[in-house]
Amino acid sequence: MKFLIKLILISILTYAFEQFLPWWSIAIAAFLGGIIFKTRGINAFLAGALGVGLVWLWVAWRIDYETNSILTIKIAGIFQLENKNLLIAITVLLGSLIGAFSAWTGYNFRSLFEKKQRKGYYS
Amino acid sequence: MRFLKFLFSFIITAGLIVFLNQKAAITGLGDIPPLGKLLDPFHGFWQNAEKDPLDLKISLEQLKLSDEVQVLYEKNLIPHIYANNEYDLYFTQGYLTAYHRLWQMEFLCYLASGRVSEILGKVALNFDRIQRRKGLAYGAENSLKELEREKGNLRFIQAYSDGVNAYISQLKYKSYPIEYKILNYQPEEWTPFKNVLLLKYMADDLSGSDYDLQNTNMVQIFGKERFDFLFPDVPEGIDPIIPSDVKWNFDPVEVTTPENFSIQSKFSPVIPENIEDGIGSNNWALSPRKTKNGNAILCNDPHLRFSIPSIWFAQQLKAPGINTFGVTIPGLPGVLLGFNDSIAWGLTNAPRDVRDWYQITLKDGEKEEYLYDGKWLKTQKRIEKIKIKGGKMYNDTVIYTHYGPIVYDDTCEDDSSKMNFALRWTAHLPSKEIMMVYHLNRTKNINELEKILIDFECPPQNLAIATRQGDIGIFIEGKFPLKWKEQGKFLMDGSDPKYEWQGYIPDEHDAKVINPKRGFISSSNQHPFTEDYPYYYYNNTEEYFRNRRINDKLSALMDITIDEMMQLQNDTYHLLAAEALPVMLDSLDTAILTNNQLKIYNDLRNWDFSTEPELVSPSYFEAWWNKLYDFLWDEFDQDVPLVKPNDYITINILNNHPLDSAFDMVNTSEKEKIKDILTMSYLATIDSISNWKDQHPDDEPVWYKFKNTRLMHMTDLRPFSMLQIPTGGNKHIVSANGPTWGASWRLIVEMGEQIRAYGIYPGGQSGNPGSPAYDTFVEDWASGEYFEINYWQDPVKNLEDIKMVRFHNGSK
Repeated sequence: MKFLIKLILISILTYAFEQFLPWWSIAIAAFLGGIIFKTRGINAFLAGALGVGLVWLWVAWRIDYETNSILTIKIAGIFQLENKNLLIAITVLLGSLIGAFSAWTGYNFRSLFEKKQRKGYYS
Repeated sequence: MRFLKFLFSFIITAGLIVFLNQKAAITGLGDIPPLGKLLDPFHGFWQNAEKDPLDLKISLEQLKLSDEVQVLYEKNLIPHIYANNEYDLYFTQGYLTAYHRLWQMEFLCYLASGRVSEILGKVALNFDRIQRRKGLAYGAENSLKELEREKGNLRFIQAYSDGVNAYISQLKYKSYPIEYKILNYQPEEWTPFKNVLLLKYMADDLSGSDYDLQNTNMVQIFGKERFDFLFPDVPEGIDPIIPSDVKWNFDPVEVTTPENFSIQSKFSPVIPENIEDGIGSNNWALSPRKTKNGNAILCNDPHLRFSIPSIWFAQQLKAPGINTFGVTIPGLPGVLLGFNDSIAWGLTNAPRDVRDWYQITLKDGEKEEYLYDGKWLKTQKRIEKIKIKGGKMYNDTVIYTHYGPIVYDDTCEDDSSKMNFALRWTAHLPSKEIMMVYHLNRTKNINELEKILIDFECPPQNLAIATRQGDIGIFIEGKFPLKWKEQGKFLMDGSDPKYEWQGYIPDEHDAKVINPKRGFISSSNQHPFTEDYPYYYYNNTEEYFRNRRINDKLSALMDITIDEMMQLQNDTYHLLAAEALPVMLDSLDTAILTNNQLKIYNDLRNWDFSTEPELVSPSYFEAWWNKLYDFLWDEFDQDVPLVKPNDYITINILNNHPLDSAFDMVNTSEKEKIKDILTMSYLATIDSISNWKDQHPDDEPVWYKFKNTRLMHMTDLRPFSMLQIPTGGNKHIVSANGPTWGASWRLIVEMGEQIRAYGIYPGGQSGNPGSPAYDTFVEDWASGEYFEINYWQDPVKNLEDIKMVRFHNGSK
């Protein structure tokens, strides 16, 4: 549940920040998402990857669909990719990568301020 | 420990962002654009993809207009601009042109001023240096100063610039044209200087070519007699622009021919780049008595280097005092080729030797002084600061003499230490072609036209016009140096004043024809007149085929319709082949041919000289002609720059001089005859076509595939370009579509009570590769179709497929 909320929060922030700020604002979105709620590191990492990745996938796919891939095909050609789906995949992967590491950084940031715990499952 | 973990994750994240936010150089792959920025679906390239080109994202904020402007957009994205005053008109033209073509217009300026290294890095340095050393920006500065002398001149140029800048100031990364995102740089402020610079770029494209240095070499190698035989100034059988029955009713200015002038005996390894073979144009006009409806008709198709986005942008401009439709180069205010409510006009290049090379004797390595008339004169130095992306600034010192810049000196190539060639060129002169365009758009009749032609200096052009009153005319316009016979055909000694240009041909002595007896005028870059013109003129890039074909057709036709003119513009009859192929086939040794080779021979025998896209014979002829040409003129393949005789002379040699020494190959011990050369080249042709088949296993060598007419994006990026366009024709053919040049715009206008006009160009109004309007016209253009030009007197309403945009002062 926490994971899902975290994921949705990161998605909403990603979408919101991208309206006004440059592309790297997705890192802030995922970072903030990584700070709230106490979860495991891997949990934050995945929420960041999916939170950003799904938003990017949705927007990229919708543009590609609405414009009949008019530009996607050409840009894929410039990168010498065999088809446009690969370009969409790379785009999503890139967003996910930033999202994952940012959320993990947020998680690590949060840990700085938490009381030292007994080593266990939840560290 | 936790802190280290945080630091570690933070550094990875930040590192990724920084890496993906900048352009990275990866060895072997070339430059990779900033991936994060580029791929972000909210700001990156995705945002450049368009669904409906008419879904314009024009922001009316902060537009400094004085009144409302109405713009009607047709479905094909041609805007019709209706303004209440001039400022608003040109402002809106600038704004909309930038909206559709910003990257292209700015990149053209980078090319013209030699600033490409700023974008592409060191690879462009040599290009930039030569662009600067030949003085294009220097010429543009001179012209701008001249324009500034009269206050009113700059107002419309300024209005256009303001419009471009209004658009640029509204841009954010998200809305940048895709090329900026890929090449990772930003648009900069537009200035009136750039408008003028673009005209100098045109001057370079159309007049920036000569063979003076090659000629000098050839006289040394082959002797003057052979040179004159192979390169006559005016060969027999030409069909000039000015019909030979026109008499010259003026007293020419005296030109003093110096005694015992000599041809410089220097070999010159470095040569200026020359205009691509095939660049030229056709225009013609018909007097009302030749046409079916009794109206004058004007036709024009300029053949320029192909590019996509196209070099042309179409629009209608209407404001008090002006109502014109046509195309212009993005960045150039007004309409360059088109019509208004009184006249229609078209341009073709009028190639003439308007640039000459002078050998300069510098005093010493300091280059402070040069020898002239026995004295040492001071040079001027112009330091060109070339910014290089990812490198240090390159300072290039260019030495200027009173002739012009020393383009080639010891800083250019290793073996040119003693060259010091200065360029004298009319493109360096302060000139006001832009004013000529301004006035042309408003001209009402031939009398008015003749008054404004004086501003037309460089590049020289043949201006054809047809008026609604039924007049037709052609004017060969430009600033032409006065020359004695053969002056400037060869490198000249810059220290001797007798080689100076002795002034210019007075404007009133420029050649023109108005309403000639034959009922039409035409030009296709051929000789302007026969040798009886009272002034010496020279050029060796004249056309010999398109002009004869067009004049033959126009002479024969009566009751001419627009449809027939469309057919003529798309005429693919290969006159060169018709004149060369019979002797080629006759002289071939058919006894040694295999069955397959004989079949191709018979196909060529039966060929009707049409070069329609799906035919195979044109491919064989083209390949054979090129091989023959190479074998025939092999003595010109030397390690100093030379130029080979043109196709017209080559046909003359084939037909009338079968024993000429040209048929003997230099590198063989035998003495080849015409039959040997033709047989060898024929067999080599069969080989080269079968090589082509091996490389294209799925294709037949049909003409359009073999020729490969292509529209390349200016970055040469293939996915933004279009290859193997199914179109016929080639150079020397009326439909002049070669591999990389051709009919860049076709216009037909009937100047009746109701003006009827048709146009087409290979491209689309949008410069955005992500827009459906990027290539709107290409298919129709290739198959010889046109769009009907809507020339509305007022902003019509309630039409289907029309979008109305109202521009107004943003504060309202």
